[in-house]
Amino acid sequence: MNQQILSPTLALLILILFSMIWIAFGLYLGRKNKTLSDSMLAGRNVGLALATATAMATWVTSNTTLTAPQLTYQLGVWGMLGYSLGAVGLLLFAPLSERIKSILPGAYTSGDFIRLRFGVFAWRVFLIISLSYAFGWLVSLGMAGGILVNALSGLPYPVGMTIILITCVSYTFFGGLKAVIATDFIQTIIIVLGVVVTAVFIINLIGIEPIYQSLEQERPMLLNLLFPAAIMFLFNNLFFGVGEIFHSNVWWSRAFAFSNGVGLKAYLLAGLFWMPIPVVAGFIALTAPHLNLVIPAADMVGPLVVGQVLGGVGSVIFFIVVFSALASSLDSLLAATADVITQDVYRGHWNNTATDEQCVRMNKYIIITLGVLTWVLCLPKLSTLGSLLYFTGAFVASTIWPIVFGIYFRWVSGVAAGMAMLLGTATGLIAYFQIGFYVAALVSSAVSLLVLLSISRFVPDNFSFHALMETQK
Amino acid sequence: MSNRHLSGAVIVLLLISRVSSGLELSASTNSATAGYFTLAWFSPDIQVTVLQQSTSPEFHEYTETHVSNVQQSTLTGFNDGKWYFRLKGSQGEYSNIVNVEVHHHSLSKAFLFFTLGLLMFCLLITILILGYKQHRSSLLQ
Repeated sequence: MNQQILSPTLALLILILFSMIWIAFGLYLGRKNKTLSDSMLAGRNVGLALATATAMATWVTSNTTLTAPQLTYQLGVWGMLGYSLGAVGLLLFAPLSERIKSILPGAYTSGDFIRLRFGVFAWRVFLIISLSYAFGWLVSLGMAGGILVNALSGLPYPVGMTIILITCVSYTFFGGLKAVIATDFIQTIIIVLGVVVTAVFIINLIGIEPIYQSLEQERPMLLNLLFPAAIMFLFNNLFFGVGEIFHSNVWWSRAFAFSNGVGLKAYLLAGLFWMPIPVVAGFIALTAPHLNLVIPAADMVGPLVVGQVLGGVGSVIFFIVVFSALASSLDSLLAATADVITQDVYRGHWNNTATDEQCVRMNKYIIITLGVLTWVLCLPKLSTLGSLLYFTGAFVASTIWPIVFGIYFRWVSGVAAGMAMLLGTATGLIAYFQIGFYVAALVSSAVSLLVLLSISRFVPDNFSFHALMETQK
Repeated sequence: MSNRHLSGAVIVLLLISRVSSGLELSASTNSATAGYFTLAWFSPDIQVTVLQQSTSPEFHEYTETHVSNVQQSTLTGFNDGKWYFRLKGSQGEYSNIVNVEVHHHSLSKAFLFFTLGLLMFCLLITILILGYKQHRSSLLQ
């Protein structure tokens, strides 16, 4: 039998307290933002410690702390280990970040690269994909806030969701990327300590043997290393993570923001530090059968287990950890998505003579608008976190090969890149509905590769990176 | 009507009333390919106490889970097979029986996707290494 562990009043108090601290921090850090570079790219000179912390904290999302347990609960041991393959995206982005900073010293967004490298057709396809993913992720983060608060305290889902969205929109609005990165540093420490303490506590309290026996008797497939759907999930999750990171302005904006020489080391370190987090978080879900817990929806398994095992104190810790994970990702995503809309939609399509000051103002309006839209989309709670997230996999995985080949090699044309993304996305979506979420990204990536190489074979380009760098000066 | 017939009719009526008790159980799917599914129920007038799970529709042997205060339960990790579920109320009433067949994807399909992923991953690593070396040598020039 389940019961709420935190009182609604306590949950609300913690939410409001953290919200006030974060917003005050945003106000403090944003007071010196003057230029578009200050606001969008923290002045382009972030050092290694902050760079590593922000990369890691941004990638530790509510999905890491809530969806990792969900996937472990659904797909077992491989679900847990497969989720940690999401670190590969960070590791592989490390050399890319160096190349990005080198060939695009004056750019602001990933959209800038696609536009300059591939032209308008591929740029517009990319924007649709990128914004679809951004909204999917924003909604999943907003939903996670509501689910977390509801699961632990019984506070109605809209309340938790609304407060978390208002908080993140506020300090991103006031502080820009500087506030985002600085709060990430603190949130990283909270997340790492909280997750490790929670897992160690659970293992000591229950023990590995009882957990294993319950799984063996009641949920044998979760321990089965030949679980077919889980095997299909492994590389699907890897390519999903790679697609997310390679295309998303969340990571490109950091590559632009980091000081020279920092990006490579920061992303490598962040990837290595991140890798064990989903394993630890996912392990929590494996105790659910032993505890005889009723799990209404798979994405609630993490907070329900923690609440049951650790009681009030542990729930407070878990609550703070997930709130930090949520906030550290929601702010990054808000900032990066607002940047893409400002630079690529507003300035790129609407008002191409817009000054930097106009863009700074527009950026702020867009942050607010994104917050409101996200709230509207979160309210009906249409799906579970995992299903929503992996739906976007079909979109983002199609961008991997155009970006990788396009950033290093001159022969990839705009048509090849645009068609690869279009057809990859379409087939990925078909695979999502016909087979399952655990193959969408893989299929999308495979088709994208095939289309890119086929078209480039017959219609190669001869792009000049030297000319690209010259236009940036 | 004889007393025997009357008793039989009463028993049948009682049985029908216990099954058609207003407890409605439904499943998110009748055919699960990954071993997990969600059961949901609606019982405005009846307090549901346990969810029973069995491998036979007669429930000769079954396990029980207490499910008070919730309206659905997500179950995972099932092997291939047919699984039967029903709810039991606090007064001993039963819901309809729901049948979920778990039929996992074949291992050959799974390994096909795995191999495809592995090959693409190796290609990705190769491209990134080649590209990085090319980038480094262009910086030195």
